[in-house]
Amino acid sequence: MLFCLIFILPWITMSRMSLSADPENAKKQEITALYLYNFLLFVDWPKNAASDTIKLATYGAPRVYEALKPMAGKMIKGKKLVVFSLAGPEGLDDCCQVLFVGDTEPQILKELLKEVNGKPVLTISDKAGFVRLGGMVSFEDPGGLRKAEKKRKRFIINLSAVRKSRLKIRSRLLRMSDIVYDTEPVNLEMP
Amino acid sequence: MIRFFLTFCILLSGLIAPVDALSQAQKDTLVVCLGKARPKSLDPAVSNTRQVLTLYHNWGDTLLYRDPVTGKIVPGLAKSYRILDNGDMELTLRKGVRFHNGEPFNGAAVKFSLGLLKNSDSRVSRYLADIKDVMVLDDHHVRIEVIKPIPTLSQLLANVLFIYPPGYYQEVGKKGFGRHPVGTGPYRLVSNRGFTEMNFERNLRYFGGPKGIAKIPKLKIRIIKETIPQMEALISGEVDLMRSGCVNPEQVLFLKQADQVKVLSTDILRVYFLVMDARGRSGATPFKDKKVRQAVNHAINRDKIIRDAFNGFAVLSDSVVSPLHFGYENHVTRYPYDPARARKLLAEAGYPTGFDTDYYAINNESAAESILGDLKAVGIRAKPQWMMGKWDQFYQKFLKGEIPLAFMTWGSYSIFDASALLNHFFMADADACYGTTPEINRLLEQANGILGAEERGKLLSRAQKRISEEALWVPICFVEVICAMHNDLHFQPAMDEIDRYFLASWP
Repeated sequence: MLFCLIFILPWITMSRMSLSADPENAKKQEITALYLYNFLLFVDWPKNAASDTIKLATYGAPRVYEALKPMAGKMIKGKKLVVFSLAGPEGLDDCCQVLFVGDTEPQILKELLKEVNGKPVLTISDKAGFVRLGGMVSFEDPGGLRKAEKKRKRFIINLSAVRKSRLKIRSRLLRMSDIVYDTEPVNLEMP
Repeated sequence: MIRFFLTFCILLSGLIAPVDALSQAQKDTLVVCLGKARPKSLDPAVSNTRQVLTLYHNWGDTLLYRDPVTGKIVPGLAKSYRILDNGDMELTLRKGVRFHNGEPFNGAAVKFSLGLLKNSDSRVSRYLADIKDVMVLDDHHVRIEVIKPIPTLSQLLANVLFIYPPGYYQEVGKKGFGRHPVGTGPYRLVSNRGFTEMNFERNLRYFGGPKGIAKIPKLKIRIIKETIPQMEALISGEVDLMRSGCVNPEQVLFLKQADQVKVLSTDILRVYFLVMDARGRSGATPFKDKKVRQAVNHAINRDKIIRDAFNGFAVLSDSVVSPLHFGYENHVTRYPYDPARARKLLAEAGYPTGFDTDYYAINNESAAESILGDLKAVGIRAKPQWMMGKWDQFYQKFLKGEIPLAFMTWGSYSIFDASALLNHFFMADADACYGTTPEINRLLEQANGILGAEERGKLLSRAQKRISEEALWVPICFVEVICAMHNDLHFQPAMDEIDRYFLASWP
């Protein structure tokens, strides 16, 4: 009986909680993927950067990568979507049109942004402060499930960085954003 | 004892586990995202958006009803009906039916409703123009008197002749009714928070009509302004169902990957098209010239629009109506995508460097943008006036003749007959007519007075051919309606594009 109380109860409880937590987590990943997917719909790349594929790289975001993987090979606006996970900033040169950055050290983030600086690569993150470091688009805590309109995630665009990369963000996306910065990055430290 | 503790442990673990998606889904409320724009009224005589029409058929009823499975018209508030030799229709009304406020439904309510809907400021007056009056024979028998035989009369009675409670309407007035309508339908409105959230409850006194008692006790209708938050709400479980037609085709690829969401689609009557002001109602416009209209037809890359903006949920259309309309004619003049030919035609028309025009769009921004790019490529500098989701505002301007060029859509009030679109847009005296010819007008007038299907079909076919020859519109495509919902929800989109939320159920 004591065995039951000490071992079985916590085991059953924990396993139940972990099982039921999975759908929640899956939803968070799907919502992150939803945002990313829509950015692909609402962004135009310069003609010389356009090809018949849209290459989307993730860094420091294994779960987002997993959520996006099933979409690889699908056609978006006549282009085939390619999804891959980057091991480090060194593999970034001219390899993608979209870069999603998840958890990373400030120094590596700095290197990543430096690598794509001025290139037609859309940089996105779900980390607060990303756009102030020179990133283009961030949606803060996109995976959090909002319960009311007031708790909606903040969706921020750095137009200056977008312009520098010769990308065009459609007005629809700008209308949906909460804040549009049109300034140079203010610092290179993660807040 | 051990068995007892094991049972206890399992029960306890169940209690402390977070509520999972399925149990949330088993709630007693169906949450529906109706669309992006707030309706200005819930009265279908005031607002003819698909959102308002859809809601009407959930809180209101019509004399006849379209069975969503067979597509056949069956008795609704009427128990039976017969068409007389002169085209009039006699109906026996159901007894004992009451509106949500307790007011009785009877012949007087039918007569009152027709009078209200035939009023000149009603959105559906044109559809009912050939109905002369309602003769009340007694409380439960009426005769619909027609000016001339109406081929689509039973469909009009199922889709356009909405039934109002005379006492309540007169008490609260048009605005009051629009805010808080009262009908006989399976759901009754309980609260309306500024048209952004509307709560309905099951009408437990629903008469034994074909719709039946609503399966889910409560219905919450929400308006969510933008696409991403709409999809987010669906994925996160805040919303159970996106109204059919509310799902942007571009989102389908993504939604199909989402774990707890399923996407269904079905063919409907809806067509998308570009209207050019061939009559010059909006002022001096190049579209009065047939060569310019032909040029615009050749300028638009419809295959690209269908592939990219409609994500394949559409079929290229050469005619202005869809194959689901009776009288559809596909052997019409075709205008293949040919920008060089478009530029040549523009030059021949006296516009070698193109021209400027305002360009309105109310739906599918990607398609609207694609058209904008195609026009620019041949020299037509279209200034976009995006009125996405703002149908009521757009339509008011449209009827006033203020629109030189518009990308728009029409669902024909769910009437499966080409006349439901052609009469509305191509009869010379119609407010929505931006181009016609005496011949087209005559063909349509003739078709409206004939009951014989073969002869009508020929007249409607000829009218479509002439419309194409004159290049009055650019037909883009006819579409499938897309519906996205929680995986566990039992719900089917209908071919008449009217969601029956009362038929939705959880397992």
